[in-house]
Amino acid sequence: MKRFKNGLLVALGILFLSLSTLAQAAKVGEAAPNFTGTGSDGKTYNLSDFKGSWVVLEWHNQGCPFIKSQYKGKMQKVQGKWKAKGVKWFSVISSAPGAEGSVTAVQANADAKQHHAHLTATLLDSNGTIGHAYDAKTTPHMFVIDPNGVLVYNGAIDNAPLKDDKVATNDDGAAFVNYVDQALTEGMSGKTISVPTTAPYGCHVKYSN
Amino acid sequence: MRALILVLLTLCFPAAVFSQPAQHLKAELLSEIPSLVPGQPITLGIHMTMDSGWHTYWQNPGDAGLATSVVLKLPMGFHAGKMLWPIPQRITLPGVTDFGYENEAMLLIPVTVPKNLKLGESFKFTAKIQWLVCKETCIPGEAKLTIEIPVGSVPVSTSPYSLFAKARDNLPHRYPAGVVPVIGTLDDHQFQLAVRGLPVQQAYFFPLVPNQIDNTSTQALQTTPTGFTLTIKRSDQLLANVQKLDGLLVVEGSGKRNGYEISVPLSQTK
Repeated sequence: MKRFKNGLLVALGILFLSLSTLAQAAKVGEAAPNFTGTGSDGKTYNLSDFKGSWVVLEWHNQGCPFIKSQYKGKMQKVQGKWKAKGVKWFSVISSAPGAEGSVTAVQANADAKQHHAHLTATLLDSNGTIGHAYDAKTTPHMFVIDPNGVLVYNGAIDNAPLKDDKVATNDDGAAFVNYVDQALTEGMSGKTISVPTTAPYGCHVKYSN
Repeated sequence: MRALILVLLTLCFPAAVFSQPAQHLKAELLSEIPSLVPGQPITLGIHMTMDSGWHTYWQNPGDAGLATSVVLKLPMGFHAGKMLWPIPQRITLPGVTDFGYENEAMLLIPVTVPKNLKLGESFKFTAKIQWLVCKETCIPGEAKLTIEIPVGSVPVSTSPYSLFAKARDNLPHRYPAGVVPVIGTLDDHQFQLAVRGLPVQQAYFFPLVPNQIDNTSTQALQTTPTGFTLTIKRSDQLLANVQKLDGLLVVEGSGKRNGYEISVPLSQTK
C-alpha cells in the first residue's frame, strides 16, 4: 500500500510537472522555462545552474540556409564577443530523428568545430521538449535570459535574413541590427532592452509530428 | 491586311517573356497585354510555379519563412503601383503555421504608362525576385527577369490573358473599396473581431504584422444574429497593446473563398 501510495504521489508529481511545463510559455519579462538538456559533450545542463550568468539559446539546424548564412561568420562573431564576457551560449537542436538538422553528438561536435562556433554546449533536443517549452519556431530563433533567470529577449537574430557579414543596411534600407548583441549590450549595462521581441525568421524547426 | 497579320503575330507571341528555372520553383515575368498603348496602364505579373508540396510565402510569412521580394526596374516615365498579393493559405507544420502559397502564385503589379510613346519603340522592364521555397527543407532563390514590350495599338480589352483573370479572381477585396463592418477588441489574452453581414462557413484572419496574433491557435468562429465573431489568441510576443489590427479577413461560404483587406481600430477591454 505504501509502495502504491508512493507510486501515486510520483505519478501525480509527474502530471503536475508536465502540466506546469505546458502552462509555462517563454514570455519576455517572466521566468524563462527551466530545462534539463543533454549536451553533445555528454554532459547534462540545467538552466537553473546558470543563475548569475547571461544565457543565450540559439535554435540550430545545420541544413537550414539561414543557419548556413549566419555561420559564414556573423553568428560566430557575436558568440565569440559575448562568450569572452562570460555569456553562456547554447545552440539547441530540436530536429526530430531523421528530419533535416538531426545529428548525432559526434556530428554536432564536428559541425561546431568546423564552423569555429563559440558555444558553451550544443543541446540535443530531438524530442522537442526544450523547443516546445520555449515555443521555438525557426532556426535561428534566439532567446536571451538575464542572470536572474528572466527571459529578456525572444525573436530573430538580426534584421537582415540571408545577408552576409558586411551589410550596413538591410533590404528595407534600415540600419543593420543584431538584436541579440543589442539586448546583451543594453542588458549588461543596466539599460532597458529597447527591442525585447521581434518576429523570428528562418526555417521552421523540424519537430516530430 | 498587313496590319492585321502584325496584330495576329503579336497575339501569338504575347510578350517577350523571360523565365528562369530554379530549384523547385519557376519564375516568369509576364505582361497582361502584348503591347503598350500610350497613357493606358498595364499590369505585370510575377508568376511562380512550385513543385508539388513546395511553398513560398505571403508578405507576412507567419511563424517561419521569408516573404517573396520583388524589385522592379522600369523605363523613364513609367511608375509602378503597390504590388498585389493573392489571398494566402495557412500552411501548418508541427508547431508552426506559415502563410503562403502552394503550387503557384501570381503577384500583380500595376504600372502607369506615359502618353508620349511612339509606334516602333519598345521598352524593357526588369524584375529582381528573391524567394524562399520550402518543403521539408528551405531553399532561397533569386532571378532577374526581363520583358520587352513594344508600343502598339492593340486595345486593352481584346487580350484577356487567362492567368491574369485567374489572378484577379484570387485577389482580396481592397480596403476601403471592399470594406466590411468590423468591430475589434483586445484584452490581455485575445483579439475579437465582430463582423456584420457576411454569410460564412469558415473564417480566418491573416495578420499583416507579425507577432500580433498566435498563428497556430484555432480562431474560434461563432455566428451571431448579425454576422459572426472571430476570437483570436494574442501572441505571447505582443508585449504592448496595439491600437489597430491590419490584415486579411478570409471567409468561405457558398463554395467561394473571399478575402477582405481590413484595418480595424481596437478598443481595449479588461
